[in-house]
Amino acid sequence: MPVQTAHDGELALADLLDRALNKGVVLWGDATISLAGVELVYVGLRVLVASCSTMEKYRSSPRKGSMPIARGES
Amino acid sequence: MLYVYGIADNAFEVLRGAGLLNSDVFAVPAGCLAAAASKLAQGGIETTPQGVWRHEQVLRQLMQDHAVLPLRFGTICRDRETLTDRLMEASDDLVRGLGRVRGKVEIALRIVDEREHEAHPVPSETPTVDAIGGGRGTAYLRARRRHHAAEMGREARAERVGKMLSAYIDVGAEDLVCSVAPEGDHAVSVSCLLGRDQLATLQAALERFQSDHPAIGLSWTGPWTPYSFVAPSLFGVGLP
Repeated sequence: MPVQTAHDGELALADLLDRALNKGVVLWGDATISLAGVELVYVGLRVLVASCSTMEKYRSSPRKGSMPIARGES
Repeated sequence: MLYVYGIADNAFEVLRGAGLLNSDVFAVPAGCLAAAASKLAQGGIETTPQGVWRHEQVLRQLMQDHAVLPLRFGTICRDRETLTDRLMEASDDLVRGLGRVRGKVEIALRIVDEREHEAHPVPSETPTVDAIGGGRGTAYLRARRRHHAAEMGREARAERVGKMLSAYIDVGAEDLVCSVAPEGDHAVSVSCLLGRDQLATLQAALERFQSDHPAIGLSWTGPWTPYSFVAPSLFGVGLP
């Protein structure tokens, strides 16, 4: 089993954000965005993602010959 | 106001303090289904990485005993009645969706083939009209054509990786989704849906893949809740 490195948490977070923010079931499109405060929530998340430039750089350059398994939290 | 995490195949005991901002997560039953929800705290939604992890942890906890469809992070609902009505409306689709993911998890793979970089460089950004020069109409069409060609190249690359992987990983074509991020990201992202009991087999398959293709960079994370294998348009609504 490959050794988990310090970067694994960042990679796992990137994969989680990619899924939880962009995928998954959307219960209702209109109601969600029309409720007060939710637009702010989405703006907040974009800021959060934009601030992770280092993480994104890592995402696009996996290490050769390694297969980190990240099961835990960042 | 309720925050909704996902939809389970039946009701469950309250998960004390497991939700966002340590809220209790309870079942909102609707026929044979149940939504996992918590009361939205005064502070609203926890829009931090920890908040997203919490969302995922609730779903993982439920997945230990149930089939679960994950909802997109940030889903809220006015009240129990509204939520129940929505679930009842889409009951058939939800049951079908739950059947597909029952007992399965998602694995995220990331693959970079250095040889692909050299053979098929992807433009770092879409060329602008000004950068190309000449008549604006012609320049615009050229820019569009280059952009389209780059998109086609990414799709072809994702398809090639998908074919390579399918020779190693024993899952159906519909359970292996490959994509290349737009604009300059050379890595191919792969989402794979497989049974919990297949994880060790997957690990062995990926090690074989790596051994056979040493020039290819490979990393993976998971298991995740199966976000990539539920239809966002399940309810026939547009994305927010």
